[in-house]
Amino acid sequence: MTGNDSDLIKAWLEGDEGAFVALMKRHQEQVFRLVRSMVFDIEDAKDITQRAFIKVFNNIGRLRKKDSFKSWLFKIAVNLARDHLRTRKNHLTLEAWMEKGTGNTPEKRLISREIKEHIKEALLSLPPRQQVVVSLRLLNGLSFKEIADYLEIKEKTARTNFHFGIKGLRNLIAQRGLGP
Amino acid sequence: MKCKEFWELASSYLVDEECHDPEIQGSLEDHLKKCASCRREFETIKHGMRQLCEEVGEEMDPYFFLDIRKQVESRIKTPRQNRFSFKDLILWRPAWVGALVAVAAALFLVLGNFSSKTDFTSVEEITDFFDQSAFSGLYTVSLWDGSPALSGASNGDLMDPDLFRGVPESWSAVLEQVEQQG
Repeated sequence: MTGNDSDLIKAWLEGDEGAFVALMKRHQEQVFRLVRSMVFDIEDAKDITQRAFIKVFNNIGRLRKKDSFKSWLFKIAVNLARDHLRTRKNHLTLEAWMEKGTGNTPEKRLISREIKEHIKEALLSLPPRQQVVVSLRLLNGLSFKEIADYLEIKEKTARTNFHFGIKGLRNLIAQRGLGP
Repeated sequence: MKCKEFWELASSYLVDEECHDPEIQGSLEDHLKKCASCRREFETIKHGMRQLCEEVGEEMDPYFFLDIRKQVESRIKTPRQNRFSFKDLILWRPAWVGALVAVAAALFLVLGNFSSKTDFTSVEEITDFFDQSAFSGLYTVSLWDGSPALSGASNGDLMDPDLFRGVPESWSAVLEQVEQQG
């Protein structure tokens, strides 16, 4: 099924269920990647992506501007991912992460894959609001304006969260002797 | 450029690897050449993020997304498990059903009895009527600022006015008559 989002939404609202499936097909990869860049775990990202589309299905009547569907969908997905991060049970605090240690001295530099894993863990140990902003900015390349719009916060707040998030990462790198 | 200043400007540099302002970019690069700790932190974050970007952007099996769609479709079409269902209630909670039926029957009798009588001529008559009803001993009729009201027989507390909402019209007529008589 072809057509822009507005056409598909119109067809869907007129009873064509195939139009909703077409909307899912069109956006699900992007939604999944966006969510995955925030939660990292594939199964969690899959579940949040599903929940985002179910929420869309149940609330499509609330979307005023049908041409802003994609932005609305992303906003739903980002907020579900943020809620997930806030409520996750295995959240490692920044302090705990630092205490855990790498087992490596600064002299024994970590290999690339390990750096990635450590940065991922470090990101997940940040307060969720900082982690979300840093992930959206650095892993998705979103502007602070877009981030502020998705999270319904002020642009200045998004910048502040990013600043403190990066500061947190830097502290971890310095204290745990990470580096290429 | 100081370290603090570097990190305030480094956000876009981390994303794009280039700034729109060549002068700023030059300053950032100069700082990185001179400051070993900033260089290590910056390179680690940039490197780690680039690796993570590749990880989250990796191609997934087409069946993975097909499964997402199928899951969504089944969850949309299947009623939620936790949604209240009378069928489940009857199947799993017969005692509750019995209690609900008993309460409904009692309410029907009480309200039906009240709603059938509307021709009161005095407050005393209504009080007598209450005394013979299922509310006997629980509530008394009294006037409150010139309006009829029910109050608890034991403690004199007025019933929540919201409780009068939705009572049968004839019940409202009873109260009007009390008011007129008062």
